[in-house]
Amino acid sequence: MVPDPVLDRLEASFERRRAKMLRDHEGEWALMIYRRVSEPTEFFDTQREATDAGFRKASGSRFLVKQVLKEDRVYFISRLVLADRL
Amino acid sequence: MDFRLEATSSEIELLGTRGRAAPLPRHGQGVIDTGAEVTCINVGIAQALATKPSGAYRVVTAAGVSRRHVYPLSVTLGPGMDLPPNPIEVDAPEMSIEHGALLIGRDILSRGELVWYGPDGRFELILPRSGARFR
Repeated sequence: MVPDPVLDRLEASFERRRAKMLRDHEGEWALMIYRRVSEPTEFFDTQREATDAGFRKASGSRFLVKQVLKEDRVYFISRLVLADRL
Repeated sequence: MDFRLEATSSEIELLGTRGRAAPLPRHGQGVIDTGAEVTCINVGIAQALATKPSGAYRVVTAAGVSRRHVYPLSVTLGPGMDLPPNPIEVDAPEMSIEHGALLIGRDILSRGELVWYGPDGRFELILPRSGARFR
C-alpha cells in the first residue's frame, strides 16, 4: 500500500474525535476535509452521500469518509486475493 | 467479465468545474466473487485513474486482517454491450488480485440477480434499470 500521510492525518483526527462523535452520530458517515480538519465534521446517512459531498465541498482538497462506529468494521474478501502481497 | 472503471460522477463534475479533463476510463477483465463482501480493484488501477483514496477499510483474507486504501470509483459491467447496465458507484479497496483486475463483490451483485446454470456452465447477471444480461 502506497504511504498516504494526508489520509493518515485525517484518520488520526477521526480517532481523536471518535468518542465524541459516537455520542450523537453513531452509525453515520463522517466527512472530514483536510483543510478544515479543525472545523466541525459533517455527517451523512450513507457513504455515497458523504463521498459526493466530499468532492463537492473539498474543492479538490483531500477528504476522509469513515463510518462512526465503536470499532472499525472488518470486510471479508475472498481467497482470490494474493496473501503474499498484502 | 469486461468492465470499465472511471472516476465517480461527482469527481468528474469537480474536475470539470476546475477546467480539468477526467482521466480516461480503464478497461479490463473482472471476476465475479460472491465471497467478496465488497468490490476490489487491483493494485495500480486507482493510480492510473489519478484517484485518491477517500478512506481505508480493515479487510480480512486468508492472510489475516490488514488495512487497505479505499477508492471511490464508477464501474460499468459489459460496457461493449448494446444496452450496458448503468454505471455503479463503489468504494473499492485496493488489493493484489490473482485473476483479473477487478473482483466484483456483493456490493454490486446485491443490486441485481445472479443465476448460475451449473450443468450448462453459464450464468446470468441481471442488473437493474437497463435489464442487460451477461452470459
